[in-house]
Amino acid sequence: MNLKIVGVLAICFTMGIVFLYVVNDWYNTNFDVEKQRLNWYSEVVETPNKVFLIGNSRVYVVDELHISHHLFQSGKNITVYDLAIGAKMLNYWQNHLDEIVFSNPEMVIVGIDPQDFIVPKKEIERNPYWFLEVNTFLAKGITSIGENSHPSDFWRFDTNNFKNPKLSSLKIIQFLETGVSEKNFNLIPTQPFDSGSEKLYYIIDLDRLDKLTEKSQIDIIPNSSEESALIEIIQTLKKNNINVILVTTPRPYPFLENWDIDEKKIWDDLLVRIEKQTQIKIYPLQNQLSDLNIFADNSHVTRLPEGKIYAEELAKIILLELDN
Amino acid sequence: MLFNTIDFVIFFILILTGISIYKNKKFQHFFLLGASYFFFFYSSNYLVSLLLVSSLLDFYLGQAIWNSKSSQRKKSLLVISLVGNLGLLGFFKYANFSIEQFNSIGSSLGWPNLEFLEIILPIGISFYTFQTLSYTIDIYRGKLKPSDSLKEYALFVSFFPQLVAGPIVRASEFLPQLREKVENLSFHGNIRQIIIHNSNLKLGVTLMAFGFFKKMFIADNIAPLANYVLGGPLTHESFTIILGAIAFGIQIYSDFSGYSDIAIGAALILGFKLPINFNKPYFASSPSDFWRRWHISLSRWLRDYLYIPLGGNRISESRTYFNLATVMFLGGLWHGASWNFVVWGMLHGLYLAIHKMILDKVPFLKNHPIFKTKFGFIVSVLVTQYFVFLAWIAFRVKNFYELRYAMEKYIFLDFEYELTLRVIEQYRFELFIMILFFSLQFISYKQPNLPERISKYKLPFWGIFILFILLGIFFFYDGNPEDFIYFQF
Repeated sequence: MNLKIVGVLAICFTMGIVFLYVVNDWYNTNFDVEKQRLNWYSEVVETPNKVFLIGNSRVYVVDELHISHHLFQSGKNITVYDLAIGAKMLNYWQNHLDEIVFSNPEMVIVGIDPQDFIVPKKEIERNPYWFLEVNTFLAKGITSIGENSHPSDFWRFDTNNFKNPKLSSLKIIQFLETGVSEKNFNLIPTQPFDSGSEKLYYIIDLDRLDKLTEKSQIDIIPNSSEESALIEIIQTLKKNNINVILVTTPRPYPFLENWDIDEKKIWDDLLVRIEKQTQIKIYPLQNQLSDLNIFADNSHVTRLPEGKIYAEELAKIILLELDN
Repeated sequence: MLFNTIDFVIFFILILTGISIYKNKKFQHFFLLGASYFFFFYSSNYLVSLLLVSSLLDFYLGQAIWNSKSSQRKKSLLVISLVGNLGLLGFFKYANFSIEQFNSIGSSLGWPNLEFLEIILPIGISFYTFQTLSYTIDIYRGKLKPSDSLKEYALFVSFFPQLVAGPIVRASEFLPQLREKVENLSFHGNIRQIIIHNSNLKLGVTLMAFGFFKKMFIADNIAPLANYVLGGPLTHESFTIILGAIAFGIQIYSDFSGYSDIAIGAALILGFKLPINFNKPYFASSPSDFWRRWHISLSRWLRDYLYIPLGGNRISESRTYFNLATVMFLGGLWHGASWNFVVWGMLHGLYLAIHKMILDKVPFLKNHPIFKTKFGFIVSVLVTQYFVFLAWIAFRVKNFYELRYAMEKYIFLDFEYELTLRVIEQYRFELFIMILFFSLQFISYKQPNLPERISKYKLPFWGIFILFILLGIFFFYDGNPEDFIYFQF
């Protein structure tokens, strides 16, 4: 085997990785995601007839384009933006109420689930870039050599730079094309804020899910700070003449049938409490789609096109509210 | 183990290192066999036992068929091989499908439903089953002498580059490559040392780079448009449906031919030549031309082991049309246990039969000068591809109601300007990929053997080409890549 060829390949591979890393590092430093989100609100002010969906991954999975199409076919020219971000609790949206109000949507749909009213746990996921972790070990090694030395940033790869290079590349191209670095909606076909998790691009057969599901316990905390956050979100939006719709997000029947009865009561009480305090109707999608093979797991509808019925249900709710 | 993961890259580097360091021939062959089984085990765990069973069954049956004097006994042994292989394939691939059909018929007759079986489809079973079947059938026909070495036969069945999604290799193409000398049906010379030659290395890497680019740059990046349109076509107008069909056609070609290129390239680096699987199918000018260019190893298999034994075109015209339809029906079913694949196969059967019927009834069309002109050729290609892309809708859309809707919109045009614009605006990048794909296809059509030409570049220029391919892949790698479509078959 000619070592020159191997050498050229090694150089090409290393150059490719280094180039990708450097460009993405520059991108991550200069394109602050949270800053982009804030700027997005001010840019979208001009868009008329818009509806926002807020919540976490259970709302993120909604196909917003499909809602817009559905509404368009019913004669309503409304642009739907799914702002949901995976793993964001209601407190996050409470903290961004000013921006939402400023961008002046016609309607905000808030998706809630029992899981939103618990103390969040930190999830540990397997890093797909495990082979780059060697640099973290190197960094730790450097730390242990000298008492006062710290792992250099140079040595510590930020593996986020490699997670979805396509999105950053497209944003960089847009920046080069338009000179605008903050505007990032439209680049992702649907949701402007989240690139989502691959786990959501999956369908698990309900019979199989049923076999896998044991007794479900979520540990909802009544009168939690999340509950207060939700009430504040609804009241603030209403005060600013923004129509608010509250929906419970869909769950599959294996979860619902195995759900602890006492906890279900806590959840029902929580919904009644919120309805009473805010005077808004809650649309219960939680049970409505439970028999359909559209779930990625026990709490998420799939992001695959099979989950479009979820979007259709939301479109129907929007139409119903607009008619009222 | 997927080709488009870092796990495969590391695995392949380790294989090449092992073979380069230790030059003992026997070790190299054992090493490749062990690596191939590890490759399969890594993805399929205990299902590796099926590969072993299939290999053992056909190795011993092949020898028994060859040694048998009585033609009746030969036939019985062949039937055992067919039943064994097709039985395994049928059980794992079609058992739950059959139960589903039984239940749907039974429910209207008031019969109790059967429980579905808890089985997983073993990766690559459709491919290696066809390889082992061709081995025993060729021995039965006297076209091939069985291998004396179980190790070599097992390597032929399990050779990791083509194990999970082809190309479907014949024993007569692979086994001689393990030996130094080949005479007639015999390949009994000394076993060959595996040497990584410079020319093979450069061409192999170039082919692999093409394959990775097709899969990771083109297929994965055009998939969102195909998924969006054909994943739920009911709200789309005609233009969107046509775009979706083209996007899926590009996705499946880039995905599958990309896999084949990686397989052929990886095998070539190790010194093995695998047959080509694709030859610019979207430049086919008739349905039969399409099948000479698309999944060539499968169409050759279907021709030699199904179409010709059924009588081929040496029988009456009506039987020939029937045979074409039957072969394509089975070819469709081979792809998956689902009716939409049957529809896809039947459509292609229909295209082939109608095309043949037209040529039989109007023979002057066959050599008509108009088809020799550029204009005639372009029109033939466009008409052929119109029907090919129509059939892709059936391949992708499983639900029959949605399938009918999408096909109607594809055939009976019904545009909605506003919706079209919206899709174009949202999927600009995918549309760019579409244009790029057809431009690259045109270049490769005009410049045949492109990978070979590029591999002959001087080292620095070749390095720059590889770097550009890598940058394209790295910078446009989708965080949620699609699996290789043909892995599910």
